[in-house]
This record gives sequence, structure tokens and C-alpha cells, in this order.
Amino acid sequence: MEKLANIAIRYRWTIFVMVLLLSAFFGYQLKFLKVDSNIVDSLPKDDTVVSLFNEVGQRFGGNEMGMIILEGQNVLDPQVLNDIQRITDSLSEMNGILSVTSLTNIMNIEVEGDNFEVGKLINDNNWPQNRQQADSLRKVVTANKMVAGNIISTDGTATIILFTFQENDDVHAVSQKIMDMVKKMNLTEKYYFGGSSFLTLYVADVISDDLIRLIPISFLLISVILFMSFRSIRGVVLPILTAALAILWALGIFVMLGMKLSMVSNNVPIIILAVGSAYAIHVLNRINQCKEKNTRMAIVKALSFMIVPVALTALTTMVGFLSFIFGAYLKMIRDFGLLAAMGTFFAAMFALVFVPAMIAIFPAKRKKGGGAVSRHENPIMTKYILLPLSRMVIKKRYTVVTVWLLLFAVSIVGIFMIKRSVDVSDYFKPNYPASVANKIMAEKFGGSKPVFVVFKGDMQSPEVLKRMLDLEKYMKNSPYISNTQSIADVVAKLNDAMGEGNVIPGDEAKIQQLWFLIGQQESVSRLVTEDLDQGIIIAKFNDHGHNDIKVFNDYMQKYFREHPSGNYSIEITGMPFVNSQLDKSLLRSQLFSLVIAIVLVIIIVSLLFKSFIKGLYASLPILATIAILYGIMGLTGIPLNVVTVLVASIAMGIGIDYSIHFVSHFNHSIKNYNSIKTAVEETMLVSGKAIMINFISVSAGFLVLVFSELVPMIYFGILIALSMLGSSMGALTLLPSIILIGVRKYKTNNRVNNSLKELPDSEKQGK
Amino acid sequence: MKTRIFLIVAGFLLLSVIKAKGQEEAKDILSKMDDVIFSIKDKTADVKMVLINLKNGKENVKKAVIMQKGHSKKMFRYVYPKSDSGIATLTLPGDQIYLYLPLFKSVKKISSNSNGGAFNKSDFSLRDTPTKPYSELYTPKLEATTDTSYILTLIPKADKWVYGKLVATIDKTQYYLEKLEYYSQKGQKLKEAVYHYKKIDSHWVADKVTMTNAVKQHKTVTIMSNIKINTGLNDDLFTIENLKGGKK
Repeated sequence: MEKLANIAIRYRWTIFVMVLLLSAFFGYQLKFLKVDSNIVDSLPKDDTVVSLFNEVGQRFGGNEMGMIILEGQNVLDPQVLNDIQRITDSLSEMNGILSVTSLTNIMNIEVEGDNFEVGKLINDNNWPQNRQQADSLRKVVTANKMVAGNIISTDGTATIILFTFQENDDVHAVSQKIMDMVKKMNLTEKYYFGGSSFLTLYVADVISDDLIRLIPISFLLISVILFMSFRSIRGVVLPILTAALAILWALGIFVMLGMKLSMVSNNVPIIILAVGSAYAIHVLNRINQCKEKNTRMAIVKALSFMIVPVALTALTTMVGFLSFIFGAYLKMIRDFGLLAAMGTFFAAMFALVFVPAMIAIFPAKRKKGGGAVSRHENPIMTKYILLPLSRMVIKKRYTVVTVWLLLFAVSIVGIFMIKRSVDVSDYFKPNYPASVANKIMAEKFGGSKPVFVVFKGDMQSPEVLKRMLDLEKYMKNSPYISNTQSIADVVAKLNDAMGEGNVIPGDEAKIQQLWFLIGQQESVSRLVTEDLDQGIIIAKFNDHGHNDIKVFNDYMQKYFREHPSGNYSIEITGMPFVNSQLDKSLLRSQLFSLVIAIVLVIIIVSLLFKSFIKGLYASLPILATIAILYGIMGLTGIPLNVVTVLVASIAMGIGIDYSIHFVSHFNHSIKNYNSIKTAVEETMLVSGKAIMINFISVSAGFLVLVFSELVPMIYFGILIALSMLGSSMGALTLLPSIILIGVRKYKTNNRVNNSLKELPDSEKQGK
Repeated sequence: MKTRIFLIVAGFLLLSVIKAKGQEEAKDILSKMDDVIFSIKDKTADVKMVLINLKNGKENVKKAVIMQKGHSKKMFRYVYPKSDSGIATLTLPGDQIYLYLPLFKSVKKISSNSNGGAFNKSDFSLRDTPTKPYSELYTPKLEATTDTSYILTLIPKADKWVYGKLVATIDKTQYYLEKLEYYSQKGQKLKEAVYHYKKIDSHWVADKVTMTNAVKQHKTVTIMSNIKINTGLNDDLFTIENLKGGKK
């Protein structure tokens, strides 16, 4: 251990220059950093629901639908119609857009005697010139069942311009282009963007905004707290620098590995800032505490204390993050795990090598009696928090344990009340444009989440088309579906136009002749494949709660059971089903990651203390904290989602650090003092100070997230801060109480020699 | 000073004369192109249409018999594939289009509102085969002259037109249309038609047209065979009755 300290001191300039050069290199890589916040991209491709969803996208020209919603008094007013046409024309010409459907280009089949019109719903003949004509047109258009509630609201106050994206195109880049284009048009009516691509874009925007806005605040806050704690510039700069370099290096490698930031991994900088600074805080705190007269000796001594706990706390934190690589269902969560683990590794490495090297280069003046000179001693934390806390623990150890047990019991009740939420549209605050768009879509257009029923078979067969029509009726009878579209609708409508009723002809040859009329209308290519071997029913799902998709799925499965298909197959997919799959998998992966993290952390801590029981003791505060965390989530209604799902494993990884530092320090203290009580008190005052500084700075860092525009991020910040509060208080109250109770029992059983490492003789004799 | 003013005015005048001359030349070229196209009084032919999806290379073949008198009367009767056999369309002056589906035994008039769109999966829209001379519909501008061709930009005279402009490449000696590019109102290239000609009875007749739709990644190749021109087709052939009956 001394060797590492000597290396850090001897090669301090080399270390400094190397870190500088490599930081410049990794910093340059950030130029290529990209954000991908699409959850669907993150789902495993071999998942049956996901693969069918992707297949729909490939075969029917885009499972990703985008929409621009326009709102006004009457969307058929000439001004609004002109705007719709401008947008429609611009979208039609845009690279990356496969098809556009709007009021100004939607096809309509009209029959009047022998006149048959397959043309545009709104055309040169009925295009309104004034408000009066617009009002008349509104009556006609909102009475048309093919469009009302589908592309125009039944009251005529909102309309959507619906489009699909070209396969293989960068959907998000195209969506961004659309947003920019519409913004430049200076529309007089209100407009919103809907569909998963825009939601993803909004998320990415918020991520970028949050990074730009919140990280500096987080830095500032942590700096202020560090300054108040250490009362020195070095005490601020070194922990912050350590964290910043760790973020830089981890992100640089992340980019070089070809990975992209997501709505999950974007949190890593804040996490590393909070976690990474902790290692430097502990090392710095220890160097400051050392009584040695010169800096070199102080570094050597401090590192001899700190290498094991810092390495171990980093290892356990990394285990917490790495558990996502093995346990997570979503790629974005696995990427997060890797990035955060790398960041943690670098932060620990810098704390043990770079911080000592920097202190060796820029040594602080030391007091005559040893210890670094601070402008002010900071007795407040010691006098008003740590000392009373240690005395309370020593006196009321049983009460402390009882309070924790009570909290644990209440939490168990809360755990059973946890809700889950995977719908990205729930991630925004109610007044955010994405939320407003979602609300309009739900209220006026029967939802925005597409559901696809895929028919595989001969799409000109009367049997298949009749089944399609029947299933559409069945779907519309459910409370979740208000509109459906399929090729069967078109065929029936054309048959009606030919004077044979709004039904599917019984003769396949007649269907084939009707097909002549269908031509290559863009809307048709979205409903049936070119080979006519697959067709889809497109419906919009309007859900009101978490369980709706399950109810709807059961309803659909009942139909499939009761109507076995012959020469064709029917399958159902769509965004709500993907969400449902995500929901189930989130819970599974959360449990799996957490179990991996708990088991590995207990193993590591047990190995450190060479005893499973001690490992378990040290893990108790964080295990209790996690239970309480889940309890709070259940009791307060904070849902489990792609972001909050990370909290428990992160809390496990970070929170265990406090216990490790505490027990590690206690093991050193017990060698120097005659009394366990004194050792506990000394540990609480020295290690406890670092724990408190770390808890306050980490929590402050994470609490900055309450200013995020993303709801899950707000919860994430609060939950991490809560878990830090829980684990620090656990380490400073529950853990010493258990130690004190455990030692008493050992003493009672005359097994005092084995209490905790090596007890001093005075304790062994029961003094 | 006076000399300067004189030079500027003279320059402007010269430019105006050159411009006017250029416009006249462009009009003349377009008019000659119209003469070539509209010189054929009537035409019958067997048509083979190969529809190609450029995204996956899939081809779909349709065959029909065409009868045309002038440019406003046209009858298409499909013979292949079997499912389309007997389906016929009749175009009459005033953009009136009638459709006959034999299995339904009824004729329906298709609204002119839809004639901007493609028909029966081909890349030709009804606007692509104008019933009036180009010089009546477009204002030409001579863009360039090569060794073999003139290149004209055609701006629609109508305010609302499906295309923003056309760019026509016209053979310098015979004045037939070699290539026609279709652009949107915003100047994006939408389609391109390339023509191949055959001389029949001293008339240049397009026997192969390849229309490529860049936006939809789709191509239609129309090949005409057994072409007969100026045979004196009777107006009675272009009636709704004949649309049902299939008289040749």
C-alpha cells in the first residue's frame, strides 16, 4: 500500500501530464457523442412482440407514425387549410417521409348515381373561400365516417397531419427537421407534435437541456457544500476535478465503443459527480486528519488506511452498476451500467493516484501538530451532529434498532403498493407540449398509440377480408378502440361504390377487379403488402390506466380463440403491447439486477471482513434502506419506470460504501483505543464526517434533478437522495448499534476475542 | 456622363432584345415539339406495362390494347393479367374518365378530382398525358442548347398545378421530346420520363417510355408494339356503349 503512495508521490508530474493528455484525448471523443432515447431501439430484437412490431414497420412502411396536430376554432377555415396544405406538401417532399395523410390530400370515395369519385376529400371544387363556406364544409367533413375522429375531430376544432417514416432513415433526425420546418412556418393556429419519434425527441431535448442546465448547478452546489465542509479550495477542487475527469474518461471510452447516451445513461455524469467525488472526499479527509508533519508522510499514512476501503467501495458500487449488464432487459439500462461502472472505476483510480499526486505537487501548509491547515475548523458538524449522534447510539442502541425495525415493517406494506409506468408520454409534466398533444390525441382522436392486427394470408380472399371487417367491428366494441383502418374497409367501400353494398364481395375475381381501382395510393401500401400476402388493421389505442392493455389483450385473445383462422393467421402487436412487455420485463430485470447486486456486495464485504456474519451486518443498513425506499415509492405513488428502476441497485452500490468506510475505520480504531465505545465514537467523528459530507453533497447533487423537465428524473433525484439519507443514517446509527449489541452478546458468551478483528486487551477483559 | 447613360440604356435595350429573342425561340421550339406530338390523328397499339419497385426489384406486368383519337379521346382495355382482363377506361374531352369493371357490369364516371394521382399502379398520372398542347399549358424558357438537344424549362400557366415546373429535353433536328423531368412547387425533382421513338409513316411515335418516380422509388416502362397510326378511327369507338362492349 505504501508502494502505491510512493509511486503517486515520485511520479506525480508524470501522472499529472498523463492524466492531462488522456483527458484531452477522451474529451475530443465527446465531439462524437450521440443521444438515442428511443426505448423501442433498446428492446431485445428477439422478443416476439418486438419482432412482430418491427416486422410491421418493415412490411407496411413504418410502424412509427408521426403526427402534427393543429388546433383552432374551425380547422376548415381557409387559413388553416392553407397551412395544412403547406405542411402536407413540405412533408411529402421531405426525404425520409414515406407517406403523408391530411385533410388536404386524404382520398375519399363518393358515389352519386353512376358518378363515382375516388378523389381528394377537399379539392378545388369544395375548397372554402370564406368562413361561411368553411362552416358548411365542417358539417360535411365531420359527418364523413372515414375521416371524423380519425383525421379531424368530430367537432372540427382539431386535425392531424399523419405521416410515416421511410424505413432505415434516421427517424429522429427527420422528426427534428419537421419540427424546425413547422416552427419556421409561423402558423397562427396552435400546433403540437405527436407520436413516439417526437416523444423521443422531446426526451432527448430535455436530456440535453438538463445536462446543460443541471450539471453546472450540481457542480456548484457540491462545490459549496465541499467548501463548507473542508474550508479549503483544495477540498473543493480535488473532489470535483476527480469526478469531472472520471466523467470525461468514461464518456470518451463510451463513445469509442460506439454507444449512445439514452434517457437513462444521461444521468451518469450527475451520478459520477456525486459518487466519484466521494472517493476523493474520503482520501482528502483522511490526509487532513493525519497528524504527520510533512505532506509526503501524511499521504503515505492516509493511503495505507484508504486504499482498501476506497477500492472496496468502488468495487461494490461497480457491482451495483454492473448488475444491470447481466440483469437488465433494456439495452439502454445495460449501457448505463457499463458507463457508470467505468466512471466509478476511474473516480476511484483518480482518488487513489491522481489526488495524492496533486497534493504532492501542491502541498498544503501543515499545522505544527500535524494535519492540513484550514482557514477555519469546522466544529458545527462534529459538535451538533456527529457527537450527539454517537452518544445517542451508544446510549440507545436498542431504541435505534427498534426504530429501524418499525420503519422496515411499514415499508413492507408500501412495497406491495408499488405501481409501474413504462409509457413515455407519462414522463412529462402536464403542461409540456408532449403531454398536451397526448391529451388532445386521447380526447379527440381516440389515442395516439397504434395497435396493429397482422393478417398473414391471401389478402384478396373473401374469407380473410370478411374476417378483417368482423374483427374491426369487434375491436370498436371495446372501450379502448374508436377507429380502425384496413384494406377490407377500402374493398367494402369500393364494392358499395360499384352498387353492390358496403360488404366484401363473395367472389375473389370481383375483389381483384376492385383492386384495379385501389392503384398505388400511399394509404393502401400502409394497409397491405405489395405481394398481397399480409394486411393489417391499424387502430389507435386509448388507455386510461396501467391495466387497460391487459384487459384489451384478453378481449382480443378471446376473439382469436372463438374464431380459429383457416388459411391465414392473425397476430396482434403495437406500442401498447411493447409497453406491456417492457413493463413485465422491467420488474423481472429489476429483481434480477438487485439480487445480483445484493449477493455480490455481501460476498465482497464478507471477504473484506473475513466473516459472512460481519458482511451481513455491514450490509444491513443498505438492505433496510432499499426496503424503505421501495416502501416510500409504494406509499407515495412514485412509479417504477425505466429510470426509477435503477435506484435500488445504485443505492446498493453507493450506500454500502458508508458501511464499508465505517467498519473499515472501526477496525483501525479498535486497535488504538481501549474501549469499543470510544472506537465507535472516534469512527463516527472521523469516518462519520466524511460520510456526512458525502451524503450531503451526493444528495444535493441528485436533488438538483427535481428541476428536471422529466418526471422520472425528478423521482430519481429524490429517491437517490432518500437512499443516501437512509444508508448514511443506517451506517451512522443502525450499524454502530448492531456492533455495540453484537459485541455485548459476544462478551456475554465469552467470545469477545472474535468480536471485530482484534479487540484491545482492555476490552477483552471487559473493562 | 451622357455617354455613360447612353451605354447603360443601350445595354438594357440589347438585353431586352436578346431576352425577347430567347423567349420567341423557346416558344418556337415548344410549338414544334407540340406539332410532332399532335401530328398523329389516331393510334392503336398493344401496350405492355412493366411496373418495377426499385426498392426490391419486384416487377409486375400488365398488358392492354390502346385506341386513341387526337389527344382527348382514349380507350384502354386490359388483357393481362387475367384478373384485370376486360377492365377498360375511356377518356373523353373535358377530362371525363369512365371506368368499366366487367364483373360488376357497370360503367362509373370517375371524378376529375382524382386525375392528379397515379392510375392502376403505374407512375403515369393522368396529368402526365395532357390533352392540350404543352405550349397552351406552359410558358417555356430556353435553358441550354447542346449538340443534339434543346433544354427548356416549362412553367405552368395555371396558378394551381400539380407540378411546379417541367424540364424538357427536345431533339434538335426532329423536335421530339427526349426526356421530361417533373419538379414540385418547391423545386424537388419528382419524376423523370425518358422517351424512345420509332418512325412510322414519316411520324415520330414514342414506342417506349420509361417513367421513374424518384420519390416513391418506382418505375414504369411502357412498351408499345403493333402500332398503327392515322387509320381513321371512328368517333363511335369512343363511347360508353363501346366501353362495355369491347368493339375494336
